[in-house]
Amino acid sequence: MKVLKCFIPFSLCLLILTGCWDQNELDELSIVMGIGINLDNKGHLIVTYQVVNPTTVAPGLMGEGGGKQPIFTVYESKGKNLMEATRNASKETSRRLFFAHARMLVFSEKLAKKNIYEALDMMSRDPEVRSTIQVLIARNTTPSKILRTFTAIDKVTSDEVTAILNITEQNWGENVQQDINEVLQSIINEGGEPLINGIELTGDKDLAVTSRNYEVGEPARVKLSGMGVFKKGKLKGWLDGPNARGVLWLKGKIKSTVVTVPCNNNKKGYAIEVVRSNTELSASTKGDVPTIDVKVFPETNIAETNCSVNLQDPSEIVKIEKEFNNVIQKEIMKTVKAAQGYNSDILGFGELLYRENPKKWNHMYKKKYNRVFPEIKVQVKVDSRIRRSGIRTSPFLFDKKIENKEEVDSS
Amino acid sequence: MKSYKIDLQQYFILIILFELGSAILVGLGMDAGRDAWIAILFGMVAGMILFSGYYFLYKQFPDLSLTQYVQVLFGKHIGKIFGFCYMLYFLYLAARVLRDFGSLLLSAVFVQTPIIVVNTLMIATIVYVLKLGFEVLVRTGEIFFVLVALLGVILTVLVLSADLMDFNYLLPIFGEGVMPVLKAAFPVTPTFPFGEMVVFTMLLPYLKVKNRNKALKIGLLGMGVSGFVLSTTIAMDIAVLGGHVATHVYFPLLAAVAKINIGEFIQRLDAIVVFTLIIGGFFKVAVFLYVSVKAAQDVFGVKEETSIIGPIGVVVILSSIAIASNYVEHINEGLNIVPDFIHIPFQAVLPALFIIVFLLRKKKLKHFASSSSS
Amino acid sequence: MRNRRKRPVIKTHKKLSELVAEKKAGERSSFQVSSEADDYKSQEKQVKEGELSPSLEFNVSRINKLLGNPTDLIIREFEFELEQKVTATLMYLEEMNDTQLLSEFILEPLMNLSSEKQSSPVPVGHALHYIKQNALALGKVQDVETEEELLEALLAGLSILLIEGNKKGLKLGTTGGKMRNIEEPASEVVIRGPREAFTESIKTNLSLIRRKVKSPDLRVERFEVGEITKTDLAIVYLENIVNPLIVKEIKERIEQVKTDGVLETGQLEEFIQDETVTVFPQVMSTERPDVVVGNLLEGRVGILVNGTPFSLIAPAQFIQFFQSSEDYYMRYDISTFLRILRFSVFIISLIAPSIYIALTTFHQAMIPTTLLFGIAAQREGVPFPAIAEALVMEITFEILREAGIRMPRAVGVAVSIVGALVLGQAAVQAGLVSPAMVIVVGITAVASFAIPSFAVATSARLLRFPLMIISSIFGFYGLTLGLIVIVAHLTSLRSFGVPYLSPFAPIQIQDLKDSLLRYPISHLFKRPVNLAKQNATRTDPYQVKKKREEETTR
Repeated sequence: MKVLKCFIPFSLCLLILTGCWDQNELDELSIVMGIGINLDNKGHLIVTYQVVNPTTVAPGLMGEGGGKQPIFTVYESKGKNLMEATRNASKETSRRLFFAHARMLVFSEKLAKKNIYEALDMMSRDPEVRSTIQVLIARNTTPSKILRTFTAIDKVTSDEVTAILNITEQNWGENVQQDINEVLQSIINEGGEPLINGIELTGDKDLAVTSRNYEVGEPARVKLSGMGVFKKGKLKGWLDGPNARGVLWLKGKIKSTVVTVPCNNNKKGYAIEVVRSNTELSASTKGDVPTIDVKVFPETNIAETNCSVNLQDPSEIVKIEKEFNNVIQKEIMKTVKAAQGYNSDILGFGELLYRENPKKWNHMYKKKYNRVFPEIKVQVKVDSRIRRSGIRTSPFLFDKKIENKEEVDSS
Repeated sequence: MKSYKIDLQQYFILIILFELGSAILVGLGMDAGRDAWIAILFGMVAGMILFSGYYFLYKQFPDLSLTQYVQVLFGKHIGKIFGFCYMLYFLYLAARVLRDFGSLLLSAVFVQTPIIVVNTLMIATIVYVLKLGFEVLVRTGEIFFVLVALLGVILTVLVLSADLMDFNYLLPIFGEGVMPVLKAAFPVTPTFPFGEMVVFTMLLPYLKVKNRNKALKIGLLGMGVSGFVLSTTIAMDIAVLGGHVATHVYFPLLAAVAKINIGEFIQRLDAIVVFTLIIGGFFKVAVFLYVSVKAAQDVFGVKEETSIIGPIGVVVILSSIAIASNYVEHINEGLNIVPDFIHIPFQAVLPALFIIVFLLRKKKLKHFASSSSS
Repeated sequence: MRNRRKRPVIKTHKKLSELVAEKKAGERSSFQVSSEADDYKSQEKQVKEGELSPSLEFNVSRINKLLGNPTDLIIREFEFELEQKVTATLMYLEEMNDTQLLSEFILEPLMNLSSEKQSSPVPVGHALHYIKQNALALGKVQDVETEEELLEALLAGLSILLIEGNKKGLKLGTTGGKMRNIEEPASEVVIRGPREAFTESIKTNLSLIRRKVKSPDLRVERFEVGEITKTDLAIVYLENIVNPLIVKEIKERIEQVKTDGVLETGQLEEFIQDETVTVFPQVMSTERPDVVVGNLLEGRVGILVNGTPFSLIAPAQFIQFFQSSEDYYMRYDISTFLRILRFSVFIISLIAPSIYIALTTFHQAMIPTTLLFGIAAQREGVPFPAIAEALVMEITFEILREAGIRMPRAVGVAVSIVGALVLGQAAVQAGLVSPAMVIVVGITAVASFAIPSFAVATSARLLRFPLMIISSIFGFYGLTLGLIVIVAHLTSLRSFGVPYLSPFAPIQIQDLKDSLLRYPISHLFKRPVNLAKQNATRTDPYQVKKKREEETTR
């Protein structure tokens, strides 16, 4: 009872004293969904914030607020560093910017070419920004353009982009989700360099920033495009298409993709759908130049055939597997060559070497890794399995063997 | 209230809650990088050795707490000086953990709230619970133990099913050799949290008489389980976040759990972690506070423990603010100064001294020891 | 016989005049009659204070005076034949006795007595004994020796037979009168299970229990509480199971009750509970006999009070309030599910608004993005902060609930229409509250109705408000500390010495099988540890089963 008597007045004091320390009503917050960072000519940061207008996005309330109000609005502010720019934005925002739901962080190519470290630090230090925020680089455009683009399906650009990332990672495998944590970790890894997804704007770029964008038949769209290769915090170049996929093969991050395998002299050949895949890396550190063995074990289905082949014949399947192995092997080797060309260890080889032989790494490779990395020998072995061939047995081309072969060949 | 005895189950739960309390959230042994989880196991073993020492002393004086048997060992006056030192030590620990807890909470959630408010609220709760008696604290512990354990299991399952872990992050084991791990482990990890078992020298006399001979076994079991849980948690954090990120954020667990996103539906589970953080912090501070109350009671001869809980609580609040001017200083003290100059003397040197003195004066004391144990 | 009522009334009037005369003369003491009437004088000396006198007239006038000449006191004088003609008086309070019983089994046989039938003449002094043995065809017949006893019996609804020349009287168990029938329970409805509920009569209630337990170990002990009302109270327990210390404690506490009157067990509960400063019920109340018996079998004690259908069960554990008698009548899987559901519902009704407040004002980061948009859009334009919104809505709901309970049924519908449509819908459309808040309040409300025990639902209702306030100031931090305080408070509670939160704190593994979970009956072969210390094992269903199997195989 005595305790109560002491604490009642005390807690009453607390009640009165606590005005609004960390309390924010929802209608006092601007929910930032995407952040863009660019560099102006003086070297100051231009920060773009994509802020959602919840009344227009919320399900069920469409009739009320929608129509006149835009779905989102974009603020832009400048500052010597990120924090300054953020607070500077308060000159034009009517509510506190709230970053906890930000989904993507877009750097401009200009900034990426100069240095991304400082921007990454602020983003990972702020307790409000979540570590799951996706990092991207605006390719051939500016972050501000990307963030201003109106999209058709997911109404907010940032939502759309993260959704695209997810879908393409699941289905195509040339891009992989990279949140800020993973970027930081890949920088810190022994000899490691980050690899950041690129995003570009296609179609009518002037139309993109108007809400009419989704009313026209041929809207401007945001599109993922390659992955940026970094070296010491600076963007060096891009990996596109199969090169980008090679990285994922190496890292074992392929979830599903489609690979075209030629048959006989038909380049279109088969479309092989990879269902799952496993990658094993091992390194031998004998001698000055390490060797890395890559073993890839994809499991696949035949999804399309443009060849006249008896798919019920096991030996034919083995043949296709071999062809497929070749294609993948070449793809991976090309990627390795590209990375070694940039002299940027985006593949995590340094980390692998460190795991295999920490002492040798520390004493021999670490200091002269710049020279070691382009020299690393990579041996790729692909051991694929074709499990199924859809719901058909042999292609109908096979039944009418002779006539169709010519036709297919000529096409 | 005074005659309340705890049974083995409660003793075990108390150890686990106490050990895991704040340690599970803050990165432990992070200087060892990706080997942090091994550093914890080293620390655990060292802590177990210390605990065996405490148990030896307890066995000689099964009815007395540390601050009481030093008075037997050294006589009333010197003993009281030792007791007073220990009281200050416990108070300091209470203040320290409270400060840790407050700052961590502040940096994660309540950026603008003054730390004194957060700390005061916590102490107010603790004082209320302790005034209801040690028994209530222990039983409350039982309830929350089950709850926290359940949440722990759920979180683990979620982390596993979200496919976030990359065990390559944990390799190579002993990449830099054993020395850096040992360096990271000693003296910090044995002293925090395992060496803090020194508070149980004050609590062991509360064990039921029939359970006394199992005190060591269950104590070590409790330390083993909590060491294992701590170690796997840190390993999990590293596997999810990567060695660097895990060792460079204040709450690796919070960061790891934040990454869970299953089907856009099960996500943002930070609330669960914050909840465990508060429960853990509560129990740790409460145990320290209670132990300092008991020590003060012995040193100053206070009859009713309830009458000094409040004042000591206020002391803890104030000292938690005063011990460091900012968080970096506080952490720095915690990692560099406190283990060497405070933890080691109180957790290892002094108990060792007590054991030696006891062995020397065994014959003289024998009479007393036998009469007290009967 | 029909007009028998008239005579006594006249008689009473006669007595009244005498009493008035007495009063004029002034009384010396409350127990001594004035000496005005000469023929009393000699008797007065013989009669000790409070004892009955052999004089019929004296006794009757005394009683009449002590009761203040009530109009419902029927005094019937009649004669019957023994050795000689004997005058007797039958007294009873009208409407508390069964008149048919009185006439058929008392007046009729007595008036038909004739000396011819008697083998040997019975002297007047032995009259009481004789008629008890031979004439009164009634079960409950007891001697009354003192005035006090006589009055008590009379007020308790017994009838009194006094015979001229005897210093004793007889009290006759002719209690009757109008009582409510046994009906279905109103507050504890089950789908499967007995359909009977206690009534206001303690006798009926005891009979309901007796009928269910045919054990010789069933003990019924009677008490009287209330200095003025003298309410009948009975505790029931199974002597071979119950912990005698708990029975002793309960008896002591009941004996210590000093109050004017006990009209309901709720009043008694406040006197005998351990801790007053708490919102949690420490004694369970039920109107179902099967619940009482089930608890007796676990080693608890039932307390019945005359005049209310609600009986008490002590000691009570927190978890009991989430159990329903039906849990044992249904399959264990669904029972377990329902118990967990009920407990979750309690938690929801306790903290749902607090979580809403904490999330929307402090931890917006923890709300999934899409949901956040939804809530944020609804909050747009709401003039109040979330806490004010929540408090207003919760209090509005409490008002509606209170109004709904007290209203006559017909008006109740109107109240709910006004509440649901006008207040809910209109407030949302006017933009005063956000729809999300209405949903939260709605969930809270429905959740609180799903808790089987009204008492615990009330605790949740009360605790909701402080939790809402603290979480509006400190978010989840405040909420968690609030919950710690609540749990600590719960663990500090005891019900008649038994920890309130057992079997959770302290953990009792065996008892956990019948707590939030309900194991199959065959696993529940232990009684609760704290309650049934002396006889901890129930009839082991395994052994019964085994026996049966052995017999069939043979």
